[in-house]
Amino acid sequence: MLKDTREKKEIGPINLYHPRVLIVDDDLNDVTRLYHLVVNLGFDVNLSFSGREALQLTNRQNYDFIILDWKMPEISGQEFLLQYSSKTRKHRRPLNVILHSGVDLSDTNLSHSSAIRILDIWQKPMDIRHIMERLADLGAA
Amino acid sequence: MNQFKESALPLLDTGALKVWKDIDPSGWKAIVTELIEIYIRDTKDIQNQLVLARDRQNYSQIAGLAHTLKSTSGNVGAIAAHNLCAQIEQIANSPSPTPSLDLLSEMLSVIPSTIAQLESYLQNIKAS
Repeated sequence: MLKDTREKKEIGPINLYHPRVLIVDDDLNDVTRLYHLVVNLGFDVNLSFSGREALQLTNRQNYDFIILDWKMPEISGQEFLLQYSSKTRKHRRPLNVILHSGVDLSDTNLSHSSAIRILDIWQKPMDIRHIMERLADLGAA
Repeated sequence: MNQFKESALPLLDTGALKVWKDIDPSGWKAIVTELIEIYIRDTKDIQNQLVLARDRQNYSQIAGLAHTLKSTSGNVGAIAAHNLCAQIEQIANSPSPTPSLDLLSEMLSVIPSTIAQLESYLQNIKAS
């Protein structure tokens, strides 16, 4: 068995090696920007351009966190959270979610089942340096 | 930075793009080129849809398009477009969703000017 020599980080609310992240957004511009940032930070990245595809991906594999767009056609970020919460097995660890939204979510009820843990809310458009700071605060960079 | 006559805001603040130089010193040109090319392509499409939505007085569609363009404009530092989109989205989502024709016209003239500045910036970084 190979020895895992990756450096372990234990900072903030998440405990990560090389974080595996899923970016979910229907906008290619936002996806591309976030993709290049997190790749440069050394993350393993998957991309999804729809809530439906993201549900399939999160059902198949574990992510350290996902960056989830709020306003998407067909299955919105909110609908994704509801569907994920209702379908996820209870013993599975919570899905860490960073909401990435162009709308103000301060008055939105974000309490979901124990299947979801909201780590942060990023307001679009967010300065790329600011995103890096927020990821560092989460112990992810 | 050129100023847009009505909004008095710069069309483009390249700081939002130059930040990639620090993040990826060897690959930033390719990243910025990709981001600008995506923005230009998508924005031209949104511009066409905005014209149709305006002609049909489809305010919910105008709000949706302005919402999308607001975010992507902010990503590339297109400040005037971002600001105008925010105003249009706010009005289009209000109980009296009738953005003034002046505001929409301003938006539709800011878009090609912004694209022209981005294309010029793209040429400069490719030549540098």
